[in-house]
Amino acid sequence: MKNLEVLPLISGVCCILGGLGVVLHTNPINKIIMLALLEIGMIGLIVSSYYLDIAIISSICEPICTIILLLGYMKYLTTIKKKKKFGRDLPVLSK
Amino acid sequence: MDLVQYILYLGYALLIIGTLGAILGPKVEDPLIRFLNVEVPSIGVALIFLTYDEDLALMTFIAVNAILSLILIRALILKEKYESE
Amino acid sequence: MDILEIVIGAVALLMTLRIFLERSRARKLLYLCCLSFCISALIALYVKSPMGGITAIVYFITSTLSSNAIAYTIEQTKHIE
Repeated sequence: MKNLEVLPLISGVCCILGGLGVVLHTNPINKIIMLALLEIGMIGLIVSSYYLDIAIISSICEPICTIILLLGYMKYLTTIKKKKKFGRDLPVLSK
Repeated sequence: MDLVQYILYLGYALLIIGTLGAILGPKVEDPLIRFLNVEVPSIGVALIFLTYDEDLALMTFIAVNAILSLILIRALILKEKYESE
Repeated sequence: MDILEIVIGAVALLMTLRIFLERSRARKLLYLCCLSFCISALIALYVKSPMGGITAIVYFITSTLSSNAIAYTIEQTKHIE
């Protein structure tokens, strides 16, 4: 452990805390923030083993994945709300 | 402990945490929360690819993973929409 | 080990612990933005070649974009609920 630099150490702490945080939180936006923390740790570990081109590709693909997850979550929330409102007054109509 | 061994053990730890979390984590009956838990072992697999020097496999895995999340979340929204009708 | 890397590493470690322990959602996002700035500086200090500078620039731009997307969605979600 004595010949590790600063960047692999910080990235390892980010990976472990991000993995625990994704599992333990229950709100999806908190889970997405923790997933961004996990991706930060992975990019740091890729850079610390000198694969710089893969680090560029990975840091371009990371916000695409985050934006897809956020748009999907907003549409999912709208569908859930509409279903709950529709399901509440359907039995009143059937009586 | 050198750098390669450190990354390898970190990848194994992420695989174990993510697999246990996807099976018996808190509030895992909601499909969106289970799908977000499954993202953790995929990053563990990416770190193990990094350890064995498979650079082309790592690049393909990261790029395909973004497209895979698009398909899965699209299927999840369509399932909710068909169940409400 | 340089003195500059130690100072930035201490700030990054503090920010990581505060993201994990914070309960408010908007404040957690602010600390995430600060942590990505710290990692960008550490990348530029770790790699001693011009390619490291290009990697740090690309990482800086994309991480700022990701944080802005999360902030916009928090506002929209508050409007829906």
